[in-house]
Formats: sequence, structure tokens, C-alpha cells
Amino acid sequence: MSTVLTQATTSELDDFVNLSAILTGIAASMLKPFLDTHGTAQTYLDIAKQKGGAALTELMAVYDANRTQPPANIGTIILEQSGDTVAYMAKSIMLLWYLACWYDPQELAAYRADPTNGARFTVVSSDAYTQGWVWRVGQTHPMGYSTWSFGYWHQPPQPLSAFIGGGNSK
Amino acid sequence: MSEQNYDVVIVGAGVSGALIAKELGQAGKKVLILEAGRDGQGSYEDYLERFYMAQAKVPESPYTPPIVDADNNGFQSPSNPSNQAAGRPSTLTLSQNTWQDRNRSYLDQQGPLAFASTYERVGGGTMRHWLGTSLRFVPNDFRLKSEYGVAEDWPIDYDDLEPWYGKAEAAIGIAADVADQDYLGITFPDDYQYPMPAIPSSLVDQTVSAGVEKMPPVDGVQLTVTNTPAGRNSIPYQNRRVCAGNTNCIPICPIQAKYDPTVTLYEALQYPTVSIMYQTVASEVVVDANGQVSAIKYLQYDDPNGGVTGSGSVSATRYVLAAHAIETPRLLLMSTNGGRTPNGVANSSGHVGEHLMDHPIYLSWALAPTQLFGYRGPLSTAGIEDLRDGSFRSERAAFRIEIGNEGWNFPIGDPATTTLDYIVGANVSQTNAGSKSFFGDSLTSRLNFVLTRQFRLGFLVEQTPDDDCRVTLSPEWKDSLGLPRPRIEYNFSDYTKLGFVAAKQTATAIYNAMGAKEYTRQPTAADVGSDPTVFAITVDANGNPVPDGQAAPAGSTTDYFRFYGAGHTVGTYRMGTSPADSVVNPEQRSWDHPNLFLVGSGVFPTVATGNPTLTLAALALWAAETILSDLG
Amino acid sequence: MKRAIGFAATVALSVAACQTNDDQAALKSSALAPINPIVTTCDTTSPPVPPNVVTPEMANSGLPCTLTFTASKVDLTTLQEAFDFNSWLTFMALSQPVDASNSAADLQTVWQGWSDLFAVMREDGAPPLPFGAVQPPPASCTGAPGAPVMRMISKTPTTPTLSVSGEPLNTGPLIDQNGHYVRYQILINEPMYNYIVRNELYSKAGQQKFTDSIAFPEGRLDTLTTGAVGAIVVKAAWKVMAGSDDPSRFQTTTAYVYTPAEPGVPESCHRSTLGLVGIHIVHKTAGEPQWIWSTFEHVDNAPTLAQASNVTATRKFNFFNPSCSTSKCPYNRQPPQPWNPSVDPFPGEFRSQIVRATSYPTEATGSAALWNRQFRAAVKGTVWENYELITTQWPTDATNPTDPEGAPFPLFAANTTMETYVQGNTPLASSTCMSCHNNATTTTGTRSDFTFVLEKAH
Repeated sequence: MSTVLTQATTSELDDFVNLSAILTGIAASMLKPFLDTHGTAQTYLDIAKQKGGAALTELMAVYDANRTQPPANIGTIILEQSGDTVAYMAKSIMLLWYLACWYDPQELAAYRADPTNGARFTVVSSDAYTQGWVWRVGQTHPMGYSTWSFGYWHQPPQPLSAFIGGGNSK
Repeated sequence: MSEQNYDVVIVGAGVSGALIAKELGQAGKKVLILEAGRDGQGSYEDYLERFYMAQAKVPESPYTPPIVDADNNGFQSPSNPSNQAAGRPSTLTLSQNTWQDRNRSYLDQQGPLAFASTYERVGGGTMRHWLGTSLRFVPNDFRLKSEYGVAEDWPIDYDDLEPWYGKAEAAIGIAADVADQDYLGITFPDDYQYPMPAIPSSLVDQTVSAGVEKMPPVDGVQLTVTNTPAGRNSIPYQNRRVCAGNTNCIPICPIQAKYDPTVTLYEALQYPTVSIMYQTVASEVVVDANGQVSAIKYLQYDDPNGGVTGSGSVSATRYVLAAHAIETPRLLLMSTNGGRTPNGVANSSGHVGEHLMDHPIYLSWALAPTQLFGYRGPLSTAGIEDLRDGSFRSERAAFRIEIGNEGWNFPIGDPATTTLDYIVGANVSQTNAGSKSFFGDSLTSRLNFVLTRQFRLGFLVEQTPDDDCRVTLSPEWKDSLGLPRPRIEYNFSDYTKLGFVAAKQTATAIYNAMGAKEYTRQPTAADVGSDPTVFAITVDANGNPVPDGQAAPAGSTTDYFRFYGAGHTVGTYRMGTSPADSVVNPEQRSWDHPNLFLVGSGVFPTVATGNPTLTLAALALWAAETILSDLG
Repeated sequence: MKRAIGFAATVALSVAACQTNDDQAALKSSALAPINPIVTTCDTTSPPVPPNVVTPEMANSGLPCTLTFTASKVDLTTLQEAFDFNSWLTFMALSQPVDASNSAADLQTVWQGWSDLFAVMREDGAPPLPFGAVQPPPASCTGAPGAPVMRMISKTPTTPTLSVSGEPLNTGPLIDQNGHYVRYQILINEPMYNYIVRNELYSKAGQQKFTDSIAFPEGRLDTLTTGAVGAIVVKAAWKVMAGSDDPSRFQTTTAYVYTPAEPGVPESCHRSTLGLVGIHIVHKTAGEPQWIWSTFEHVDNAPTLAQASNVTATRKFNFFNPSCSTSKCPYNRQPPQPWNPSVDPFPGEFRSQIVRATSYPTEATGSAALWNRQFRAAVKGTVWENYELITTQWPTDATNPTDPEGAPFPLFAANTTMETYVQGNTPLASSTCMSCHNNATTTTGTRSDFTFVLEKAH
């Protein structure tokens, strides 16, 4: 179970989820389902606040200032036009959703400069690991956590849209 | 503690020890098992939690003692085997910086190459992290010398072992169809049925199969994709659930659909005459003046990072060492009996610890031209077995090809690596030329594109038994009980290396036939000598190896290869026909001490071309029958 | 999000138990009758809104055919409360005495009259006994005609008993403070029984012939209080009444405690009074195709992990000794092997030291506490006041296209008597009804609709 540091106001959590949807490409209604049994959105927001501090505040301010723009523009503004602090904080958040792991923004910046020695990270929790989005983007399940039945691997999976929502793709 | 007399004392609660204990218990024999590691019962949550939280999800990662410690920030790095009472090797200590660091590497690796496989010291043993592959050896595997003039023959042949294969398949619970498995001379009794129907093939298997069907023969052999027999439930068996395709067989099946020896161990312990002591490390095999083993001494510990808290010895009518192929010779070599057996016990041949072998793996990987949806199903459901035998075996190592269902997880640690590439803007995966970063729909579509096309082929090469591969005792490195850790010398013969050359060519040919784009990254000359898992081989224009140090004639080519361990540690107390050049006779009985049996993969004279588990399980059941016959 | 919304109504349940002595006629008539008959007595009582509380009449208002949800707000809390209320109504309805006019102390409940697993999945795949018929006991069992035979020492049967425990992942049996093995029963209701019989799923041969998907009948509400009950499975855990146990605090039964013969050990059977210590009730409904998983325990079973170190020494638990140190009595450790129930009491000093170790989210703990308080007060003066709901696990997204488990909530659920050694919060390894039962298959390896009953066929 995650430790809730401060009870997020609904709009703060909604903003975080909406921004996460823009960045990750996963539908917001899947990142935070109506009945949210795992509570990963709140968990990741808490981690982002605790580990990101001012960087998160800055990121959310950029989002807030540009929230009426089309999603593609918001993403570009954050990842390419608002400086490294904002960009790498956003990438850390994307990796929380995709891999259920926390990669510090500085770690990611160093990795981009030279990936030879890898990037250090920690796994958020066993529960979060089972909800990692990279697997669903691959139309599969996390290694070590399957809810499907014997023989499923003999047939193709459902389309990508069943996994990540939206009219995203094929 | 106890010195009561048992019928049999078994060192090691892995698959061999558990199978023998169960057979003996069923016959009412009094058995004591000594297990160095901790009790595995009731620890499934502990193991799986450790796995989920592991930053490096390597085969040994769930088990104990933990292979990593975490710093204040939670970052995991290799733990210190000098501080462990029953430590074990880790694939995290095979880099240049770690493989010879006594505070990182459990094994005292002397090289020139690193021994890259690992084993467990825990109730249930190494097979807890096996994949499940349960192949029978092909008949010529037992006759490498008489058929091809290479290495050794086994003192038994396929027909001798065949009935035991059937019994082992029932004991473990193997899913396969006989109709798929009678290739290269493998035979079954009429009407033989595997315990369970075959595991269905994956889309990766189907895609590879469609490609190899179009290939011309390789070395005169037409390649086909064959379903792999597996110790994995396709129907409910032994009160265990059916496989749900968790794609995690190595290191741990979350639902125990894959057999592990705790199943047999707990059945054995249901017999009132079978008992076990955990956290009990056998430290010496005591031999009396008549050359009989008279006792096993042991040390015990409470804290896995602490020292000795107890000691004792046990005696029995028969003794079985089943501690796997590095810890068993270690025990034998440690057993100097106050100087009376300076070269260790059971070692008049000098071959204890010698001929250490593995299946070194040549790993290749590619993107298929169409989606084949990896990361689904068991880690492997099929392979290409056709090249396990053939006339080429007189010149170069044979291999089997394992088709992986787990994308590029093994070669590059995916999907994490490629995800980092596309989010951060890097190109470690080689699929992100330009190292751009993406978000939103372009991120999901690009990531989906590669993840659904990734696949890998692993070539398990038959390493020859060599004189420069051995287990001895480290003169200086110790564990926290004060016992010397194993010292390893390891290298590959040219015969083995030529197997890699052929593997590389075969991989590329398969990818070409499939229309797949190969991404296998070969090491370079700079890696040789710095990366202990990299070697070079130079062959002249006729394909003959050019010895090290000799000038390469015109037309020579040099290949650099990275190898991985398959986890198939064998050969270090081999069986044979003469006490001069083997440690045990065909009954797996020590030539030197008639009341001592050595079981497990250490008895293999060659590593053969199939994964060792089914064969060593068959041999263990055979040894159990011999022991029962001894006991009368 | 699909949710069955019902009307608030209070209806008394009337149960007619028809039992014939003619096996053939009974089987034949069940072959003609509907598998999942229409009933007009579906309980659609909705959870009382404060300041209203559960009354005795409400507590005994009858068996819901499906969930009734009437809250104005829809969230995890209100849904959990509706499911937990539903669980209590179901538990009380099924625990009505079969013969309501008999005021004798040892009253058999409705669910105790259902078909036992062994009466359905018989040796050699023979057709099941008629619904509710009790298996003739082994010859060594005498002295209590008609009494059920308790032969299971874990929540799944193992054959023979001395083989590895049937608990998932080789865990183990439960030994009470008097050194007796806890015994288990699996019982199925009539619609479930009918589906198995009609489709010949009671044998391996029959399962091999069956080519459809397994889909047990569903509880549903058609109009007002008319609908169908659907399939219900009960798993019960029973403790031998002995020593200082007070049978008046338990629902008790007279049963044969039976252990089959093993090499060197003759079979044993003795008549005993057993008290109910745990019960799973699993109900398939149209709205919850992954079934609704309710679990109850006797209030004296065990402390929570947090409470365990502060328990007063004189407090009496069924499976915990407050005076034993953690070094001598480590929590939730399996008994040492061998597990031989014919050696009774358990040799040596070992007694199971159990604590409740699964963490539940606040929506679940709050709801369970709310309804336990009210229902236990409403049934005060009966044995049922000594039972409490642990939780109800239910699918939050039953039609999710990529998750056949339907996103269960709470994520984990365990009964200390039945998932004793897998209480925790680790995905897949710790007890979670739906995830484990999602792996259930027939003997041929095909999905069996969340029940392991079918894999027990011979």
C-alpha cells in the first residue's frame, strides 16, 4: 500500500492524470479507472511530489499554463521547450507509468548523455509492477503476472486499443 | 547434534536428493537430508516479492541468501559472499569489475573465461529456477567418442536410461506428445504416453517455423521447429495448477504450474522415516581405515550472514552427495580427514572437480517482419533440435536452438531498455536511430511496433570436457562459516568455439529465411581480455582453427563472441568404466568408497545436447533403486 | 459500468427441501427440471441508511439472487458496503435451519444439506448421489447414522491424505490449540449440482466429451422479487470441540472425523462434535460473472498481526496462544512434517500460531466493521453473533476485455482457516480469491468458470 503524504485535491490528481495521458499515450480513463482498485495514479503523484519537489511544481505549472492547447502541443512544450528540469521530470513520470520504476530525472539526463553504465532505479512496489503500462503497449502482460488462461499464447492478442484505450492505433 | 544411524544420509535437497529421499521413504528407509540453505516451505510470497522488487531479474534473484544488498537510496548491488554462510554464485558478478572481487563473486574465478552459470542453495535446489525444458538426450550423445572420435563415451547408453526417462517424466510431470519427440534416434516404448499433453506452440514458434520451412538444409540437415517437452502443467497435476503463461518460468513460476523439487521434497517428508535439517552445511566426508565412508560432518548456522552456531556428524549405511556439480566436488576436496585423504575423498582418479562444463549460449536476436507477439506464454515452448547430431560433430560442437518467447528480454533487458530509448532519447536497443524521444501516440505506436516483433534464438553449444576447466578450493576466499569457497578455472576448446561459429552462421541463415532483421551485437577485439564472457576464434580459409599466438594465414577470419551460461553445470565427478579416469562407476557409486553415491549432473562425462535436468532425474531414480537393492 | 440495481423489499425466505429415497427417480426428475429454476423469493433488501440499522427481521430477510445497490453515490466504498451487506444476508439466509420448526441445539443449516464434493465427484466417475444425499460412510464409521464424513485436512482434497497438502503451493494443515487437525468440506447448491449432472461433468470421460465453455448458472433478478439463485459454493472449516472449547459459541455439527489408511497406519474414524470456524460463500451472478467471494470467520480465531503482541494472556483463541513467545511460536508457520491426521493430537508441542496478516484497504475494513457491528447485534442470542465477515471480493470491471478477473477489489482476501499460510499482499503468491480461481480448469485443462471442483473428477 502506498503512503499518502498529502491528500491530493481532485483537480490536482486529475491534472496529473491528464498530463500523464498526454505524455504516455494511454487513455486517462485507464490510467485512473473510475473504480481505481490499485490506486497507482495517487501513488505516482505522491512519489513525484516526494522525489521531484520543485521540479514537479514547475512541470505542473507549465501544464497549467498550456492546458487548453492540443495534447500534441502540450507534450512538445513540456518535453522540448521548457528546459531540462521540466522535460526530465516529465520523463521520470512517464517511466513510473510504463515501468513502475522511479528513475531520478538527473539519472535520466546522465543516461542520455552516456548510457554505457545504465540508469539506476528502484521498483515502486510489487503491486505497481503488475500494472506497468509497457507490457500493455506490447499487447501482453508483465513477466511474472498473467491473468490469462492456458494456451492463450497460441492465438494473437486483442488489438492495441483494447489494452491502452483511445483510437490510438492498430 | 544427532549421531543416530540412518539407512541413508543425503547431502542436498535439490531434485536428485528429493527424488531419492522419496523412493527410500516409500520403502520405509530411515533417511536424513542435510540442506545447506533454508527451508523453502512457506516462502513463496517472500521469493515472489523479492523477484517483483528486484532491479535485476536474473535467474537467482528471488531466492536466498539475497544476491544483492540495497544502499540508502534503495539501489541494489551485489552482496558480499564472504559474509554469507551458504552463499551462491550470481550472474551479477560476471563483469570485469566484479568477477574476481572476493567481496562480490562467490566463486574464486581464475579464468581465463568466467564460468557464467549459477546454482541455488535452498530447499528445492537449483531446479527451482529452471525453465522446465525436459529433453531426452539423443542416442549419439552417449557415444561422442566412438561415433565421432571426440571427448568421451558414457558408460551407459540411451537404451539403458530409457526406462528411467519414463519414470522421471512421471515424477516431474512432463507435457509432450510422443509423435513430436522421436527424432535423431530417440525411441519410446510402444504405447508410451507422456503424463500430460503437449504445451501449445506460441506465435513466435509458428513464425519461426514458417521461415525455416523455406530454408535449404544446413550442414545437410533440414531444420524444423519441434515442440519442447516441459515440466509444466497442461492439465492439473500433483495438485498444481495449469500453466497460465506468466512468462516467468525462470526465475520463478508464480503459480507453481512449473514443477520444482519442493513438490517431491514435501512428499518425501510425509514419510515418517524421512527427515531434514536445514541450514546444515556438510563440511567433511569422513572415511575410515577400511576406505568406507563412516560419517558426514556438518556445520549449522542461525543467521544467514553469521557464523557457525552448531555442528555435528551423522552416520548411515549409505551416503549420497547431491549438492550439485560445484558444491559436491567442493565437499569432497575439503574432506582431507586430518591428512589421510589429502586430495579429498573419492578422488583416487584425480578427477574430482575436473571437466567442469556448461552449455555456453550463443545468443542472437532480431525483429520479425510481421508481428509475432513475444512476451507471452512460457519462456520457451519449442526449439530446433535437428542440429543436435550429425557428421559435423567430428569437427565442431553440436547445439540445440532454443526459441525464446520473451522478446529481447534476455539479450538487452527489454522491454525496459527500449522504453528508456524512446522516452529518454537513446539508442541502446539499436532500434532508435537518431536517439529521438517520443511521447503520446508516436511513443505507443513505436514501442508497440518493436515489442511485438522482437524475438531471440539461443544456441546451447555442447562444450567439451577439457583439462583446463575445473573446480578446486580457493586458498584464501572463505564463506562466513570459514569454509573455502570454490575456485574455478574455465575455458573453451576450439571444438566448442567452432560450434559458436556455426551457430552464428545458422542464426543469420534462419533470420534471412524469415525475412527478419538481425540485431545481434557482436563484441569486438577490445572486449577480449577485459570482458571475461568474451572470447575470440580465428579460422583459416578452410575453416580450421588457428591456435592462439600463431600468426593467422591469409584468408583467415576472426570472430568475437559473448557467451552466456545456460545454468547447466556438469561433469565434475564423472561416471566411467575405469577408476583411473572417472570418479563413479555406471551405478553412480564411488570407485573408491562402495558405500558412497554421487548423483546429479556432476556424473555426466559430456554435457550432451539436451538440457540436463531430465537425464539427471532419471539417473537419480536409477541410483535410488541401486541403493534400495544394497540395503536389501 | 454495469451493476444490477434492485428495489428495496423485505421478503421472508421459504425453503422447501424435497428429498426422495429413490435415487433413480431423483436423478431422472432432475434431468427434466430446469438447471436454475425460477424463484419468486429473491431478497432485494437494500443496505439501511443511517440512522437506520440492521434489524433482526432484516438480517433474516432471505437469500439475495443478486446484488442490490441503491446508494446515490457510486464509489469503492458504497459498492463494498453493498457487497458486504449482501454477504451477510446470504450467510444468514443459507444458515437458516433446514427444519425451522425444530428448536434443537444442533440445527442443520440449509448449506449443510447441500451436496458434498465427494458425493458429486465419486470414485471411478460414477454418477453423483441425488442432490443433498449424504454419502454412506466408510465401514469404520459407526454411531451417527446420516452424519457427514469429514475427510479433508485442507481446503482441497488430497488423495491419499498423507500426500502433500492440497493447499496451494504446498502450504499445510491447520492444527488447533488442542492439537486437532481442522477439517474441511466443500458443498455445492442445487443449480450448481444440476449443471454438473446435466452436462456429465462429474467424470473425466464426461469432461472430455463436453465441448462448450463451462458456464455455471447465474443468479439474477428478473422483476421485483422473481429471478433465479444461480450457483453457490460453500467451503466450510470445522474445528473439533474439545478441551475448554465452548460449543455454545459455535455452529456445531455431529460428524465423522475420518482418516483413510496409509502404509503402516490403519484407517481411523470417530464421531465428533465439530464447530464452524470459517466459511467461504461464493455466488455466481449475472452482474458478477467472476462470482462474488464472501468469507466469514469465527470471532475467536486469531488476532490481527498488529494486535498479536498486545493480546491479554487470558484471551482464548482457536488458533493462537497469547502466552507463547514469537521465538517458540513463530506466526503462520506450517506444522512440521509428516502431517498424519491419524496421529491425534498432533505430536509434540506444535500448535498453529496464526495471525491475520493480509492488509485490507480502508474501504473494505470500514465496511466489514460497519456490517459486523450491526448484524452481530441483530442476531444476538444465536450462535451467529460469534461470526464476522472478513471481506467480500468482487469484480469492479466485470467486462474488461483484457482482464478476465474483472479487476477484483479488494486485491487480496484470505480466511485464516483456509488460506492460513498465504496471507499477505504479494501478487499471485498471496491469497486472492479471484486470481487463484481464475486459473481453475477441468481435468482436461480448459477453463472451468472459477471453480476447482471440476478438476477433482475421476
